[in-house]
Amino acid sequence: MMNDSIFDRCKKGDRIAQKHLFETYSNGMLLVCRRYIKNNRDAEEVLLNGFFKFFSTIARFQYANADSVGGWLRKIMINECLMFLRQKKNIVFVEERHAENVSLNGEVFEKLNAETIRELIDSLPDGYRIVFTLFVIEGYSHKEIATLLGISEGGSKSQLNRAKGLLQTKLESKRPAYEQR
Amino acid sequence: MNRGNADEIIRSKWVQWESQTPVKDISAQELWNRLNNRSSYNYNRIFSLATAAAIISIIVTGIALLPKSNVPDSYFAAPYIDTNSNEVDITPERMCIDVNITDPMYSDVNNLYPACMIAISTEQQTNN
Repeated sequence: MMNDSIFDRCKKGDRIAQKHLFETYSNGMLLVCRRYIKNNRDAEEVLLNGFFKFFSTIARFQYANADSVGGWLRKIMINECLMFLRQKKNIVFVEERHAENVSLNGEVFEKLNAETIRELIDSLPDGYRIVFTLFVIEGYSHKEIATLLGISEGGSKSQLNRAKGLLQTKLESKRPAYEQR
Repeated sequence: MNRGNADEIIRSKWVQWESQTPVKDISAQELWNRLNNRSSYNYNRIFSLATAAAIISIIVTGIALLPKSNVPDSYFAAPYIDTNSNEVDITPERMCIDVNITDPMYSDVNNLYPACMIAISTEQQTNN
């Protein structure tokens, strides 16, 4: 378990403490990376980049509790993932025209198993998938997403609504197949 | 935009899926080793850059501390002004004429500016 003593040792460059911190958070952070990067090897590389940045800048961080470390690491990882996607996949988050509000039907999703939901979201185009993941899974606000992606809040809302619209369409077209599972 | 019921359902199912799915193809130990290799590579690179910077700095400092020519820069910069015509002559020959070559202060003028010596000796011969 993470505590302020281990964190202080990490700040002083103690390798054993750093390894302990890495082992505590690497699993969860790899999951975060995998939300954005589908390829395992790439996700691992981004994870290592993130931890390298974390340990390089650890002196600036004031330890409050284990959650604060996790929150900070998560932010670093998401930033690293977005940087990776921009560089490697040339994803450009363009401003889109205002899209109508789309509400997903909760009852339909309630009937689906987790893996099916994951497959559906993974099938979205990268730009939509990223905004959808940031908003729905990570719980970011549109303002935060706009800052992260360098777009307007309206752009973030539009992308989310288009992602939901596409999700709804995919769901409708494949509904019988999913319901048989 | 409020997070709707469907959003909450998707989120909870996603988190549930993640908790049940093995995430790593390799162990934490292997990942840690890879991180350490990367760190040492970067530390080595930083060290190399620091070493190169230190060497350049030593060379630059050394050059700056080398003994300078004892010929004052101002001498070479001073143009010769003909008092009769008030014309300015900035050729090396004219600019060197007033040097007292017996003064050890200017001993290396001969090496640095042979043209000065020619001009000076010509001037002296004319005067004699």
